[in-house]
This record gives sequence, structure tokens and C-alpha cells, in this order.
Amino acid sequence: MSDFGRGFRHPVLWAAVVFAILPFVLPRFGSTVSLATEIAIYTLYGLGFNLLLGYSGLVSFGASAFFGMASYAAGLAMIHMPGGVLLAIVFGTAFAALLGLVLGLLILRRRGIYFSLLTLAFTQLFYEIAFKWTDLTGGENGLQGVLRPGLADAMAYHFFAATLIVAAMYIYWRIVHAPFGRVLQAIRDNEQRVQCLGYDTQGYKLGAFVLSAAFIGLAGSLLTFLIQGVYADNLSWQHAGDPVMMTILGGIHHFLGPLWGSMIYIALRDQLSSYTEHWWLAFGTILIAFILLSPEGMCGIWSRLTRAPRWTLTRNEPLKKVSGVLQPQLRAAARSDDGSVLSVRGLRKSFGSLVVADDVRLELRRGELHSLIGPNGAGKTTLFNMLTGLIPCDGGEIRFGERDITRLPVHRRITAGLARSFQIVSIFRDLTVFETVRIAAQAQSSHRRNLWRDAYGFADINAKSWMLLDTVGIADRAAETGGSLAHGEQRLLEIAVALATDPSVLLLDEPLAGLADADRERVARLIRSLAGQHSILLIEHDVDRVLTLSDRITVLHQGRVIATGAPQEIAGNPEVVAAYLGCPGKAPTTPAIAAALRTDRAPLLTLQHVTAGYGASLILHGVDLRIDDGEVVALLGRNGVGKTTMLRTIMGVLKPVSGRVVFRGTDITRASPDRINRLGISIVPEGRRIFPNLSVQENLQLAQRPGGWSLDEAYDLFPILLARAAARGESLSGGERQMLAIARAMMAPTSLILLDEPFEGLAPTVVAEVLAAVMRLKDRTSILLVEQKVDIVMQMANRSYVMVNGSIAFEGTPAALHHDEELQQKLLGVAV
Amino acid sequence: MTSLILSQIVNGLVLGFLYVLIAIGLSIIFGMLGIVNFAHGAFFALGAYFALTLRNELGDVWIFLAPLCVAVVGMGIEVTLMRRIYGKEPLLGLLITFGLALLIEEIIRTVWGTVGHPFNAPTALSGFIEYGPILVTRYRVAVLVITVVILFGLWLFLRRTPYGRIIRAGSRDAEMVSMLGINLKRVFTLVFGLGTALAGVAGVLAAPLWSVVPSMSAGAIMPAFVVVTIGGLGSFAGAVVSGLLVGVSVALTIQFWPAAATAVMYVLMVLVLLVRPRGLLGERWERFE
Repeated sequence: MSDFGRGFRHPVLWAAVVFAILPFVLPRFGSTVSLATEIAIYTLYGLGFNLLLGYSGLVSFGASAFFGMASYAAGLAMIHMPGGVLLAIVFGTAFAALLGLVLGLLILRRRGIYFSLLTLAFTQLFYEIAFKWTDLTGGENGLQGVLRPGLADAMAYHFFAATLIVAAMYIYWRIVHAPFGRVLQAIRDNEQRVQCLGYDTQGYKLGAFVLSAAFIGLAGSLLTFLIQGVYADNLSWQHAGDPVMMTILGGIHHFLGPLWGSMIYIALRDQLSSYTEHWWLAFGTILIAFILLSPEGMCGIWSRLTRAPRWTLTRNEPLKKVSGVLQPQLRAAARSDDGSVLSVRGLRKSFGSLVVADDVRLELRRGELHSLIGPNGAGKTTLFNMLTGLIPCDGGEIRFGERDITRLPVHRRITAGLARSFQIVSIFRDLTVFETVRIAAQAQSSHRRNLWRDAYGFADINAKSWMLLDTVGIADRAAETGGSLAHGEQRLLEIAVALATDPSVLLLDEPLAGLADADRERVARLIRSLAGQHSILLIEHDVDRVLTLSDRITVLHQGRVIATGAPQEIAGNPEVVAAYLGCPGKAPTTPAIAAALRTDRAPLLTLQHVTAGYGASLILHGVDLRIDDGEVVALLGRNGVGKTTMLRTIMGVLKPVSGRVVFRGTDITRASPDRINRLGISIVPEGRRIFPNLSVQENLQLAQRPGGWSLDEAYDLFPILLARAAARGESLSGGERQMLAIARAMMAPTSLILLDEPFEGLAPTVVAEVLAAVMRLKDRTSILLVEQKVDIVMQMANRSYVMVNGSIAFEGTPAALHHDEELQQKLLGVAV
Repeated sequence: MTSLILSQIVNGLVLGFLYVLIAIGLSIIFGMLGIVNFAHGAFFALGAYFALTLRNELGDVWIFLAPLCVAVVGMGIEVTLMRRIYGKEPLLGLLITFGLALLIEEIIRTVWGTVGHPFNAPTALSGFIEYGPILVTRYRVAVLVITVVILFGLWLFLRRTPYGRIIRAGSRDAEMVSMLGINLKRVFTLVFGLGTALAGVAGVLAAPLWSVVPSMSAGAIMPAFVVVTIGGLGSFAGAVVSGLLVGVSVALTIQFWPAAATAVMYVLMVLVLLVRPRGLLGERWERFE
């Protein structure tokens, strides 16, 4: 499309045309020219508000505060200071911006619902002040007689105001396309990720708040001269929702949404109120209908009709590809005396009674590929969170080269040269792949706070983004939104983003999880090639791969480092073997293996070709599974293959996209979780999920139903629970929580219990206790056990399945699995 | 002077307990359903108006039905509207209840008119009581006693009964509660009914103290937000402490600086939130931050 063609379709131009036509059209319908001006003013009001809502994701009820305060400021300026209309408007706008700065500094420290409520409180406070400070503001009667010299004619004022408004809209357009504005959208989608790219998100949010206040202030000032007076009304809490409603009606994810919203709102109000004084009845119903049926507003309906599915907050860019291979521009990593680029000493962290880091000591040397391994729940991701600064540590020291970064905020650590990828994919759901990488690549640029230039006009950042996409291999998906990528592609995007900030130290958290074999190879080679130039700390579960890839390995277990050294040392370390495989001192060559049961038992649970996932990201692919009455069935597999997703699907929390789940002849594919539980399936979920604010006894009582265990039976199996009966859930240790979770599941009549890694993160002695209890369950119920500790499984299970990347790759007796080491290697990454 | 201050403090306690009653309903709905119920003040107003009509049509004694009627309306709204937005963006819940608040107020205006109605306390409760330096109306004492009894009963309900357990557990992890075989849909409806009924009771009790006008809902919802945020989301004790704090502050300010009476609670709210972001006794709930 030619530049002229693009200019022709520019939204600001459209708005200008609408504003030009309205004052001529409206009087034909019985309205006035002033109404057209009001529509233009409220458009700007809505736009200013939407900068916070649609672009930055901040729900603020403070818009009406700035609107009202600016109105008063402009009115008072006109009355008490000489200088004319324009000066008063400038004063009003500036006042609002200053107020925005002060309020922003106070309020933006809080997030979520607290932020919103604080904005509401301030709005009310200002309303009270305006209403009661009669001497200054005229109180109930407001300010009257604000003159408009030179612009007395309604039409003249309309075009004066419209010109200012269109100019403001153009500035707004530039801002949202500039690097600054682009970052706001990323903050909306995932603020934590933006911080982890090195952006000072607080600064950006404050900037957005002040800018929003300024635009709204301009609108408020213009209103003063339109009605030639100021009233406290606009500050009342009922009007706090005005900009919110208009923007929702029009569409919060569309640039011109506020224009359509204000037209509808004002026109409707004007028309309906001439018929009845209860016009709000009709309007309120319309509004609620919109919220329920079309949350994307009028623009949403329009895009559905015209099949243009995307948001129009910014221009939808045609992307021009640039080819090349990534040449990393590196900062020389600062090195401390002992040659380490990152060192950790004496690190401690607890969450209540749960100790997640216990005197951790770690050293990352320059250019090495250092892996961090350990069973689930060992505290690896928590360690990464402390290294990047997302959670504070309770004690200890973290050094980056020579520098102590223990108390440094997140974005400063990133700027210093640290980068991180996340275990659970953390990207921007509603930004395109290209934009995601571009934002990351922009993070270190000196232009990142620019308010005026087009973000897509920086050739070097664009080129770098394309190179990153090529390096990881998802360049062909550049125009898709992050949320629509397949899981494997999201992982690759994660890595591209981590590389984009030119880090010297990379923290990679399970970058291979969920990838298909071929992709694993590729990514593993990529990581290996990055070492040398970068220093890499890698968390991975594929122990075999880790042993071949790494220069050095550290093993973490229950928050403590139990071994550090070269791969060969680690592989032979008995403590490491015990930590991974469960029972210490067990001779691996002669495990007690449970026998397979007779095959003519009645099927209890069957999964028939079940496919399930989250949105576009499908985790389970055509899974077939069967559990017979009285069996103990094990489900093995690496992290990320879909074991927990499987349990959630059986339990009804996640509904399959296709396939059937049948329990005792009843189809439970679409049943709700509570119905499924009442049919006899109980779950001990990942993370235990005991209720922290209830006592142990209350946790049990909550779940109890006739036919299940009594309290006495539960205490009999788990004596420790009796001792702790009155203790609140949050004060229990890991082992106690596990036992409580298991007992709680049995309080209801259960014929099948789903256990999701019940031994995760437990000390060996506790494991023995829990194992004994689980063994006793075998007599009362069938069991589906998800585990990684193969050794334990073999003692208990009659049959096992192995999952790989969302499908069943092996079904058979544990004995068969045990004898085939090659198979174990392939499927689990570790041999028993 | 002291007598004046003490009497005002007692008035403040009465006001405070009314605020607590409203705020607890809001807090329960918030905790369990995750919805900021902007329409809570409208249910408060409905309580007063239903009581008015019941009294005029059927007689004094039938006032007690009013909160029940409010609960029925509340549950009806939950089933038809609220259910559709659970699990969606929190903003939608905010907006729907906001729209609902204004809609209900408009309905009240249509049915009962825009003019305020007088609502006198029952004759048995008129007159004053003197306790030493404290002078207070008999009705206010009655309100104090009733609200304390209700709050105590509510506390017992939450702490000791199975249903209360479900509500407390569901506030932290509703999904887990459903995996234990409890039908959440029904629980949510009843919780919404309970929350709105509490607002309705407060409306009935407040009717003789404030005038029965359509805009009385604003006089309930804003203090309720303030109380809930100062006390801490989801904290029963917090709501009681902060409700009394706000009530007494407002009452004293009315006496000595009337113009600032309504503003003082917002100043309090701002101060507390800046110093203790989760309120005085609030706990850390990730989903609200």
C-alpha cells in the first residue's frame, strides 16, 4: 500500500472528518452544535483513559478526578488570571499533568485491585473537596460565568476545540507507536517479563499515568469553556464510570473505540432523555448486554463482521524480513578474582515453614555451561527467582562479578548483563512474535524511552529481531500472536527473548521442556554453542543430556546443595543417585517388583483418544489409557510431557477438545469436578493445595462424606496429623502437607485416587513414611500414580505407562520397563 | 464537652457497626467469588425500600422479611448475570456490578419516586437513654445490640459450621473445593445471597437514621470500600476494627468539622494503604495484586 493510501486510512484523519461533519449533521436530528463538541471532548477523555486501560492494563477510576480538577483549574484561571482562553486551557492541562505526577508517585506502588480502589478513593476525596470548599469552587453551585472571548459562537468554539483535540490525538498516535508506547502494551500483557528484560516498569507506568492525566486534563479544560462553567458533578463516583463505559462500548482494544463509544453514549443519552427521565434504565441494560455479549465493544462487533480479527490499538504492521545470522554483541562480563561471573554464598529462603533454600553456595565460571539439577521441589526455580531479584532472599549474598547485587532491583540486574528464560513460558499473549522479540531487543537501546519516533523505524533493532527469530527458527511465525503459538514454538520464543538483551550470563530454566526430540537436539546444540561467549546456568531434567552437555553440575535437593563438580563425579555420587531415585541404600539390581494382575478385571477408568490443552497449546494428543478395578497404575515421564494435564483432564478441571473419559460406564468427559468426585475419583494434586487458613482437622472435615474415612481412621493412618490437628495449614511442613492432602482425599468415598508426584521434595525418611501409607491405600482403592522416581513405582505398580510429549509411548509391566535400559534412557532420560 | 465527645463516640460505634455489617457482606462476596460488588450499596438501599413497603402494606412486624427479599433478588442476579463472568477478566465483574448499581438505583427511582420517604423508628424504641455522661437514642442502642448479635452469629457460622468452612476454604482455593465434591455453583449463589442479605439488614437498620432516598446507596458503598481496604481484604477481624475506626472518626468529625466529615474516611484509606498496602490485618492474596 502506498504511503498516500496509508495516510488516507489514518484513524486520526477519520476522527477529524467525523468532528467536521457532526456539527452539521446533529442539528438535523434535534440536537445542537454543542453536542458535537461534547462528543469530541469525550472522545479525548476516553482516549486518555484508554491509555491506561487498553494499552497499559491499569484499571483506574481516577480519570474523572483529572477531568474535574482540570475543569476547575481552567475555570479558575480564566476568572482570576488574565490571559485568554488558550492560556487557561494550557493551565488546566498542566495542572492535571502535575496532579497525575503526584498521585502516580503515591498510588502506583500498589497493584491490581488495591490500585483501582485507591484511584476511586482519590476521586471521592477530590469530589468532597470540590463540593465543600465553596469559597474556591462555588460548592454545590459550581463556578459560573466563565467567559469565552472571541469564541462565543458555538460553531467557532467547536472548530477551535476540534482542532486542539485532533492535534492531541495525533500526538497520542505518535506516542503509542513509539518505543515508549510499545512497552506499555507489553507491560499490560506480562509486567514481570518486561522487568526481566531490563525495563524500569514503574517509570513507564508513571509516564503513562501522567500522559493520561494530561490528555484527560485537556478534555476537562475544553469542557469548562463549552458549558462556560464548572460543576462538581463530574467528580462524583457515579461519573467515575463514564469514561470506562464509553470505552467499553466503543472497544477498549481499538484506537478509535473511544470515539464510537462517546458518540453512542452521548447521542443515546441525548435522545433517550428527551423521551423519559428514566433513560438510564434502557442505557444500563444496553451496557450490561454489551459487557456480557461483546466485551470488545462496537469495534469488536465490526471486526467480527468484517473478519478483521485483530486489535487496532496500533497499526497492523506489514513485516519486512531481513536475513542474516546472529552475531552477538557482547558486553565483556565482569569477572571477580576467583574467575566467577556469578556467585552465590549462604543463600537462605523460607516460605513460612517451608525451607526452599538452605545455605546455598554456587559459582558460575566465565564461559562455562553449568547445570543445576535436582528432583522436583528442590528449589531450583526459586533460586533463579532470587538470582534475578523477583523474590527477595532471607539471607546470604549474590555477586555479579565483583558487584553485590543482592538488593538490586530486577531491571538493574538485567541491565548489568543477566538474562533469564522461564520454566512456564512467559511471553506476551497478545503481541506478535516479532513485536515480542523486538521489545526485548529494544530494551538496551538508548531509544527505549522515546515518545515520538516510530518504534518500527529503527533498522538496527528490526534487523536484530529478525536475526534472533532466524537463530531459533520461528521467523515464519513472526506475524502470529504469542498466545496462538504451539507449545514448542513458545519455548523457542522464550529463548530468543532471553538472548535479545545481549546478556553475558544466561539463566535458562528448563528450556527443553515439552519439545519434540528433533527440537531438543537443535536447542541443546544452540545452547552448547552459546556457551563460551556466554556463561550459562541451566536447569534441566534430562539428566543424560545434562551429563554430556555441561562443564560442571550442581545438584540441589530440598534447598541444599548436595554435590558440585564435573559430570563424571556427579554421576557416580551415591547421595545424588539416592536423591533422584528415592530410597537410599536400595540395591538397584533386585527391586521388589509388583506382579501384574489378571487381565480379566473390570475396567474402572478409560481414556479414549483424549486430546486436551490450553487454548492453542495442546498438551495431550490422542491419549489412550485404562485402569482396572483394584490396580495400581503408574504414569511416568519427564517434566512437561503432560502428566499433570492428564490428571486435570480426568478430574474435569480441563475439558478435552476431543475424545472420551469413561468411569464405571459413565461418560464423564464433560462432567464438573464435583460430580466426578462424587462418582468416586479423588485427587491429591500437584502442590498439595491444602487450605492454608483452615486447621488440619478442618481440612479433613471439609472433605468428609459418608462412606469415606472417619477422622479416627485418618489419624490412625497418619498419627502426625492428630498431633497437629489444631495447626493452621500454612504452618505445616512439606511432609505433613502431603499426608494431610492424601488423608483429605480419602475422607470421601473413593474408588480411584489420583496421586500427582506424592513424594516430590520430601526428605528420605518422610518418603518412607508416605510410601508406607500409600501402600496401605492399595487395599481400599485403585490408584493412578504420577511419578518420576522409577524405583518407587516398580515396588507399587501393577502396570505402567510412559508419556512422551503428550502421548503414551509405552505401556507394560514395570518389570518389562526395568529390563529395557535403552528404553528407559530414551523415555525418561535416566536409567535405573 | 467530654459528654459530647463520649456521646459522639457511641454514635460513632453505632455507625461503625453498620459499616462493618455492610463491609463484611462485600468482603465475603469478594473473597469467595472474586468480584468487587459495586452494586452492594444498591442492595443496601433495596433493604430500606423493601422494609418501607412491607411496613406500609403489611405492618411493622414484616420488616424482617426485607433482607430475605433482598437476598432473593441478589441470588436471582447471581444466577442470571454473575455466573457468566466468573473466570473472565476481573474488569468485567467490576463493570457489570457498576452498571447494575446505577440500574438498580434508577429502578428504585422509578418505582418509589425520587423524593425521600420518612421512616420512623418503632415507637417502643423512641426516646433517649442516659448512661452517666453519655446521651444516646434508644434506637441507636438497639441497632448496636442487633448488629453485634448478627456479627457474632456470622462469626460462629464461619468458624464452626461446615458451610462456613466451605466459604473460608473457597476464598483461598475454589477449584480445590470443587475437586472435593462440593457443588460450587450453588455455594456461590448462596454466598452472594448471604452477602446481599447482610447489606439489606444494614439498610433496614439504617432507614430511621438516614433518610430513605435513592442516593442512599452511595452512602453505603463508598464507606464499605474504605472499610474493606483499610481492614484488609478477606479479614473478618480487620473489617470490624476498621469499621469501628471509620465510624468513630466520621462521627467525631461531624461534630467538630462537619464539612470534612465524609472526606476524612478517604484520607484514612489513603494513609493506611500507603503504609500497609494490604490493610491493617489483610493477608497476601496473589490474585488480588
